[in-house]
Amino acid sequence: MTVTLQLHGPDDFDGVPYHLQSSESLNATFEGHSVPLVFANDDELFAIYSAKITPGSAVPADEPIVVTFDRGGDAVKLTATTTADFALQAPATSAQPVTVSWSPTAADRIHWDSKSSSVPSADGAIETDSGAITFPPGVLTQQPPETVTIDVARSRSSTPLTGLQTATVAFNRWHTVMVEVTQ
Amino acid sequence: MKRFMLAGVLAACTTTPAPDPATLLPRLDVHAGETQLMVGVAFEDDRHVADVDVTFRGATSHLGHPSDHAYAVNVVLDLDHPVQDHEPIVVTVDGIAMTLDPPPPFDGLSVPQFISRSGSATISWTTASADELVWYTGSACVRGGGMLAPNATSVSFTSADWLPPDAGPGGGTCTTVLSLVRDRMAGVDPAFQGGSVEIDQQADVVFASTP
Repeated sequence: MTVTLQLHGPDDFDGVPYHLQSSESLNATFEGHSVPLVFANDDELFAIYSAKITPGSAVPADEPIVVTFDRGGDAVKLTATTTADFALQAPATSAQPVTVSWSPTAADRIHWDSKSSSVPSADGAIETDSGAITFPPGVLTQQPPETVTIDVARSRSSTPLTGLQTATVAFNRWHTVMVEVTQ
Repeated sequence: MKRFMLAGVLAACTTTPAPDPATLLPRLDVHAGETQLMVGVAFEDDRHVADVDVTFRGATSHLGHPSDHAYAVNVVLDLDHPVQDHEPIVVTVDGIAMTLDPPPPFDGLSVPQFISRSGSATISWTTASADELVWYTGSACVRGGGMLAPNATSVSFTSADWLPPDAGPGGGTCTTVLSLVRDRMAGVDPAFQGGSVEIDQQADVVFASTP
């Protein structure tokens, strides 16, 4: 499990990466274990810190993950909660439209993204989890036959009140299938 | 000379009388999302110092009062379910309580998993009201927006509704969040000489926008 935090600010309309000062630290706590988040890289707007957590067993549902932003006695806690696991099913080969299904359903939103040679990147989200998604022709591939990789994620996000200008936390649990799209 | 000017400023600061509450002219801006309620109270200028409280679902939040040069206060409350139709939000400014009447939430939303920018599609809901109603969206592959008739319970799209994104080439298939907003204007308590109340109720729906 990877915990990633993106920092930017402060008070800059366009946003600039924010790097931890010597008196500041980030730690992620899950199931009683705490690990530091370390600087990974900058992107255009954010400084990215991350940590890998290896759970002792399968990650349960509704388990809190707390990221503590210690600012020298002024700690901010960001809490995300885990979503329920699901089993993802897809045919090994399929003509378009392609249907991917999963179970069980839940109240959390479903996000998906796909990759293929002819459509390098596509993504979307589903307002109501009905346990399946049917991709219309042309979304996954425009040059069948080819193999398509599809990630399906169950996501939960919130905007907790922290005293920071804005803070958003999200948990994504995803599974991947590959489908040979024939036509 | 400098000492005299400083003394003059101090005298002015300490002799400012408390304003008559009737002259406060409060502007209340209330935003109800699906998971949070934001209540903001602003005043026409920073000479006014007023105590503000917000009471919602049995809990009162004391917003204090705006300090010098910060003549607005706000509070954000987490919600476990959206603000309901006519659910009272009480804002008290210097002891004068105003009960705000929010628009209804967007219940029963029905959203396609995919919406093609070259075809037609409809998003619908089940709750109606006479409030001003708008939709807008902006994502990596599309943007758009428009007004709907009061009491509408759906918005239908044609290819003409979709514009290229503000930045980037657009195209392709991408996650798109579309906001539906009901906006209601109201007056403040007549104890005030003026002011305004604006309450909106917003729902954000997601789908994949496809070519």
